[in-house]
Amino acid sequence: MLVLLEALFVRAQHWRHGYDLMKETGLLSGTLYPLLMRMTDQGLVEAEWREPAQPGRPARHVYRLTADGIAFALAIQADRAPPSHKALPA
Amino acid sequence: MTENIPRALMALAIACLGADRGEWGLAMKAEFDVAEEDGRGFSFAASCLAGALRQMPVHEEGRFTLSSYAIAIVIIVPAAVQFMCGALLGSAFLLNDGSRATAPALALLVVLLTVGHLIMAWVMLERDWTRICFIGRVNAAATTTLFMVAGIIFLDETVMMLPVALLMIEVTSVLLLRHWYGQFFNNSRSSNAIGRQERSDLPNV
Repeated sequence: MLVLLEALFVRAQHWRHGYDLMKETGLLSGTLYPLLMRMTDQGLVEAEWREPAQPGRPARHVYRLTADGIAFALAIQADRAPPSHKALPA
Repeated sequence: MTENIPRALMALAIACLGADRGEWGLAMKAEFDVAEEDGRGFSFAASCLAGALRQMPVHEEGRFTLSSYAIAIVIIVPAAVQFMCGALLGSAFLLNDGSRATAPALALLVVLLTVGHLIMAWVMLERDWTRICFIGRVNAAATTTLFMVAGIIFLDETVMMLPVALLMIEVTSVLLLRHWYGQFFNNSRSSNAIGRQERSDLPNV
């Protein structure tokens, strides 16, 4: 989930296709989609249908982080960041 | 031919997701078309199927489907096999000179029960409750007839205990499944009505 969260967070304002996320994260479709479903259920990710770029193709789902998702990603990032050392007094 | 296999796997994956996740199934199908163009259709579809199978115990429709298969494979099909084995091996040894003349009629009845149970398993997986009721009645009538005939000619009704017990277990399981289906269908119908309202602004796919 963290890999997916990170991939979505890198370009948080952009809508992303499932297949592109698969290629970027290296996750298999059978792992990616259950994660996206769960994250959507939890309100971390929003999904939308987009008209196809080429005529005659089916509409595609696109995904991006919600405000809650971004806040969650920031919280995770803060947790993972190494603790900053306070400057010692001279 | 080879390009049909990933499509079949994809269709199976979408079916395994259930009606509640139908929109996600369509989303996966649209990405599958892209993956197929990229030459990765098979791995994409196989992984989707594996993921959908893992999700089955999580949602009610999946649990219902798994339970239906469990009842068919663990109860109904073994019952049919038991009847078939009885027809092929058992009943001939139970008949004596006086009752041997009934063997063809008994064999026919047991074959009818075998076929009846197999059809029962099939229609149960198709959720065709009208045909299940009809076949259930035929099976019950055939079992009762066999029980009565056994009482007349074998003089030992214990040989009929297993078929009668199996029939009772089978009928109880199917009735419980039917009850569950009724509850689940009512719930999903009302939630689908809400979902349709919410999704009415989506583009056609």
